[in-house]
Amino acid sequence: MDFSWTEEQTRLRTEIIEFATRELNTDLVERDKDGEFSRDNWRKCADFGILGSSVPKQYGGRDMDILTAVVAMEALGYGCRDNGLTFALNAQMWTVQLPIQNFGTEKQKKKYLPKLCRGEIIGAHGITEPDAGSDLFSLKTIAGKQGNEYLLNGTKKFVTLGPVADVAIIFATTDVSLGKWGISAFLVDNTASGYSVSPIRQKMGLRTVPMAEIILDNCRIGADCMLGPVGAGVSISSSSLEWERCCILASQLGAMERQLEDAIQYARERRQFNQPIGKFQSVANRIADMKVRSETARLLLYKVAWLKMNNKPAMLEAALSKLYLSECFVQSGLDALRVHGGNGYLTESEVERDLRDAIGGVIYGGTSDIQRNIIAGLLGL
Amino acid sequence: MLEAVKQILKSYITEELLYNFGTVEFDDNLLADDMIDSIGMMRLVGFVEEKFELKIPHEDLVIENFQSISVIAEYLAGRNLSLPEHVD
Repeated sequence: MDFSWTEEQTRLRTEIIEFATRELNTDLVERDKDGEFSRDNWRKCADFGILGSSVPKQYGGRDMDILTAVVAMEALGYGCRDNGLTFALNAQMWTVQLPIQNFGTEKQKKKYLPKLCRGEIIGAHGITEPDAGSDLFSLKTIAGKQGNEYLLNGTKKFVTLGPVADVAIIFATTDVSLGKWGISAFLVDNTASGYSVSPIRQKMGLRTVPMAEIILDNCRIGADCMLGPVGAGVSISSSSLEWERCCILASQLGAMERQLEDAIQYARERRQFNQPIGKFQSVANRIADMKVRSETARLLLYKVAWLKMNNKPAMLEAALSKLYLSECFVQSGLDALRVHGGNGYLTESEVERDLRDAIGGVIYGGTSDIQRNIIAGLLGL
Repeated sequence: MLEAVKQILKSYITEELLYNFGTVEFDDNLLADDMIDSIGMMRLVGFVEEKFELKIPHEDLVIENFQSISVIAEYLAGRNLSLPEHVD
């Protein structure tokens, strides 16, 4: 076994941390309060090459393997305190760009990927619906074929980047009689007739990434907007899951590492009863638990990336990692807040925001309950 | 060889996915009424990849290739499948 990174990967990590720390953390308290998405920071990340990390070079990317992408996204999560931004970047990279890369026609790849990588356009993934959350494939959006066109009708909910997206991958049923196997995917530009967006105004965390409902009311698109074969919706959705889980979780892992270092520093500097609070066993134990969580979560995550790197199935390991790491991030957020005490409770401390941001992680991308179902199912139960 | 592949698939589905609580025939629709759910399908794909030592591309995971045991066997035959020596 070899747990070491290459020189190139180590250099990439350092460069991303320096970039993120220098460029992405300004005015965050205010932007979080106002729910403001920073298009400037999005472009900076695009210019740095983050968005194109795993996209092939001929479409404007850097063609990174999954292990290197994990290094990059972990470094970003460590350096960038804006968890909303890292979440949004990951959402576009793994649920928009990757499906286009894997299933798109040459024309679709050339049309969308270079612009997405450069940050010139933004992409969203529309699958969840008001009545299709965890039961994802019971979706009601219909795509009716009319000659050389499809007519889309339905509503998509919780669409990350929905309000600012120029294009959305929309999942819709093309053959009701086939159930989930009759679901197809479409690339829908926001200029299509019958396409509208209703932004979500407020949410608990990840406030710097905008979300929306996408309403498709007789939305007319060409048949050539279909992504992948007819009925490939389930396959498209599941194909990117392992990458998505790896890399979103990698950013969370980076954030946990930062939280841990902040907590250690605070526990060494903050004095009560004439000694640093880190000398009190209750505080020290809490920090030790944070370290145990980040290290064990890292092992699970790297194993998934290694399996994918070696073309091995990783559905079980990805579910284990998603469940464990997202729950660890919540617990470590709470522990970090307890270490900081009343000061951490104040918004200006930027400690409580990590906790609020972490909660979303046990819901999006398959809730913890659903991960347990997947794990049990894959164990043969 | 097609028959051997069908039998292997039938045994796996009956024992591992239906827990011997039901029977499945070669031409039964596996996907109708969720006879095999999404997780079951993942397990079936994993089994096929491991047993027959091949990789099923994501774009091939459509109903046309996985609707029944016969259809899966035909799909595998189209992939120029030859049974690995250790498969009996």
